[in-house]
Amino acid sequence: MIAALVLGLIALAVVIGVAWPLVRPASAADQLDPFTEGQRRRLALREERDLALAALKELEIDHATHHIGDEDYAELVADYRARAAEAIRQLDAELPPVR
Amino acid sequence: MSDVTPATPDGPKPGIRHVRLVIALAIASLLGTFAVYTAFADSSMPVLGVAQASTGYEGQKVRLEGKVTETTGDAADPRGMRFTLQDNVHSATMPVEYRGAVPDAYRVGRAIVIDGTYENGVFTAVPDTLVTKCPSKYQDKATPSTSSDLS
Amino acid sequence: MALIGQGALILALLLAVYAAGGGLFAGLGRDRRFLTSARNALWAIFALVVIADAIFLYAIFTHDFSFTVVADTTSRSLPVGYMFTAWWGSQAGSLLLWVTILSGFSLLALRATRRALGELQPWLIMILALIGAFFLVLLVVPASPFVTQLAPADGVGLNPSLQNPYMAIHPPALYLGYVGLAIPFALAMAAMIAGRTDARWLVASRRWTLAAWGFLGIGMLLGSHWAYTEVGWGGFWAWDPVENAALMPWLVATAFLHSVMVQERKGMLKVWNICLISGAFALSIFGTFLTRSGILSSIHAFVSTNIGWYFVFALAAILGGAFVLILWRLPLLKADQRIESLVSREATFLFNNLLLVGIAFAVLWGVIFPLLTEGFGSVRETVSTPFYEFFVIVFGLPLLLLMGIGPLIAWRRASLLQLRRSFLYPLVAGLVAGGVMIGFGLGSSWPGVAALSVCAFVTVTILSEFVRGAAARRSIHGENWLVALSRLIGRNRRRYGGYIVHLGVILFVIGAVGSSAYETQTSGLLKPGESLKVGSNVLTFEGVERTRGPNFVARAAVLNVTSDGSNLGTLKPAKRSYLREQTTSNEVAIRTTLTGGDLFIILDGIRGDGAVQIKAFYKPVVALLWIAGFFFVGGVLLCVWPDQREARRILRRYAEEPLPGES
Repeated sequence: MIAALVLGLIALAVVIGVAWPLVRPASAADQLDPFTEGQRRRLALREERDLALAALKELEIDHATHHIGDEDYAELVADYRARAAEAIRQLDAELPPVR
Repeated sequence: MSDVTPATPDGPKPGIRHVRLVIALAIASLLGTFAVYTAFADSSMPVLGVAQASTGYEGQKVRLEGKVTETTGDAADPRGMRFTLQDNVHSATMPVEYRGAVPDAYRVGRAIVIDGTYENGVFTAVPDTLVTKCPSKYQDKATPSTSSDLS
Repeated sequence: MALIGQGALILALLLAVYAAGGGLFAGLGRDRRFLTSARNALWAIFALVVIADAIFLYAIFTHDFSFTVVADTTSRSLPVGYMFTAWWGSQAGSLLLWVTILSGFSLLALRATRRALGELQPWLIMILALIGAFFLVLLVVPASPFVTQLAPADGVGLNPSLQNPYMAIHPPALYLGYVGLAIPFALAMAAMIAGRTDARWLVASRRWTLAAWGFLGIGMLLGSHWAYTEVGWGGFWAWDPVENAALMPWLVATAFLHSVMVQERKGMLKVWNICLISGAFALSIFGTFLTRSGILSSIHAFVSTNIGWYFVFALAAILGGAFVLILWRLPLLKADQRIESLVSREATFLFNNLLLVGIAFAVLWGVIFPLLTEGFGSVRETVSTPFYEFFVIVFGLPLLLLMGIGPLIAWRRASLLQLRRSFLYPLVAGLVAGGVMIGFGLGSSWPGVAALSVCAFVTVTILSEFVRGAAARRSIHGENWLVALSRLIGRNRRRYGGYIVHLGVILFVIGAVGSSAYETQTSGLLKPGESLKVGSNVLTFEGVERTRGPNFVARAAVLNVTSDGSNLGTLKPAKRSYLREQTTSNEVAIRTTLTGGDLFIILDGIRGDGAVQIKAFYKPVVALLWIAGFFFVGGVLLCVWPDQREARRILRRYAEEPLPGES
């Protein structure tokens, strides 16, 4: 008997907690789109830029510790610099974000 | 990642095919090793109940399953331990000779597993292969084979 | 009380189903209300499961034997510490632990992905809720902890082999590992559903995979230590299905940890990575069931238990679901780049993956072989240690070699000239070590010599990495050695943490090889005053000693140990009789020498006339196995440790442009 009562109370609390967000009708603010297309694209570009910069750092370490020769180093550095530059260029070409 | 065109040229086509070939060869050799070993090495043995083991598997190394019905002697003794194993389902029995480690849970009435050969009416066990099967979820073991195979 | 517990679990199950639906609606309809509601449901599930845990533990600690599970796994005389471990001493109890960890981890995962992966949250909730619902179904239907009976006067007690500190930590560690793999899996599935197949889910899942992998590894090491000291047959790994159950997901997770680095840098192996994490999680579910039920002992055992079918369903759902999602999103999973050169770190990682998956596959084959032969043949067949050892050696030696080659090769492309210079010292070290070992008579085991030579090679490689990195910092920044080294490690935690873990692996291999390929063993029947010689030690039997414990009576053989005349103390291998559980257990005596070797003594039997049968081993460098654990933990901690600079960089990336509020 007590068990049923306790369970019932718990169930009630749970149902209230779970149903509460659904009580009010859906509004525009409830739209679950954290990013617009533009924001998503720019975020991807920023990630690309950061990835290229991180790779440059790692390359510098690999070169300093003699894992990679000067020729290969120069070639890969040029490649990563180009990627980073391209990403930054595309970012700047978009409308500057409102600060 | 897909928005930025890679600055590297297309890359030497023969180089890529070369890489793919080596990877494919690596996979093939792993599979090949596996296939050859399982086909040709004597790596497995049948798992039999007492009733099955006494017919048609004489002289072969098998893993025997059964229940201990009586036991005498000491496995650590040079003369070894002798016990009778009964089939888990049928009533067939078989005498077993065993030397080596005995797991803690071993006793009359326990289900066990043991490796060895049935010959001339007696199952001669490989030392240290006696394993008890607990009625609950845990399996006790004395000694699976020592790693003499590494030397 | 049992009714409340059962009711809580049923309620939790209903909530889990609801949460899955809520996540689905939130994802399809992009409705925040359903997301919040589903998240609240996950919180409620956690609370309910904790209530169930509390009731269960209360029953254990108050000796409430009306709970069938409590009666089956505890007794009044069980020491208090082990009453807690009885929680996972039964199938129902351990499933309860699984669900508790899962619901806790789910909440943590949601919290951690709020910022960067907001759009994955609905799908993440859906998948984690579905996994939770599956385990809750098991807890409600076939394996309930709250089944009641007429309470007997006392319980059956806990298996004496489990009354050991290692068995207290080993199962929870493994469970943290098994459950931990659910998060990266859920992230992978959510990323595919949401169409976000770039590396972001990988980066978010990194710490989870590392932690889960670490727990699995430590769990296995603890289990091995338990087997070595408690079960006491002289070995530490028996290739038992239960042991293999943890090894398989660990191997696949190791492969995954390496290949994600390739995807992060080159945007390739996307499909392979999803397959790996799905496989790792599927093996983790497989492992949970292997350990907890006799499903693999035979097809008949499998069919006769109802748990078996649930497990088949779960595996089919996981693998089938992953397969369908991969097919659907295949266009998005095309590689961004290709491998440019075989002499590159990517190629090394690829071969490393093939070998690791190869070993995992061989182990899996060995585990299911009995089922396969029984199903497709007439007689059930089994494989044993030689089968597993063959693949560990044949696939493992090249893997060990790669561990030494990998650090020497740069990403994308390495020049052969540089490689020759880097290879020189390690190669010489390996060859010299091999020669020295053969000179010392270790050539009796060729795999042993090969493995140890490769270990020398790898060790020199790794140490040279630390030295070269610090030297480079010194020349660039002018720091002294200590500062350079600590800054080097601090700024490149994942790389050097990884190297520390590799050093742990080397120590483990040396310990494993030394203690198995090069051990010595003797046995003998001793009357009081007689001696046994093992290695350079002499064991003299003095007599049998009787002692009493809380729930056992023990008889020990007192052995005096001397080496070259000097007294090294006494060892007392014993036999314990547990009164309540009506079993005897063997307590081995171990003495570790300064060089890391062990004198390992088993009391095989006590004769009526007071003579004892003793088996003694000398196992060189076996202590390295356990020391390796510290390197392992240290390396993983270093990798997982939050990096302030990196965290700030990521925050800056998101702050460069104001984004709408988080869900």
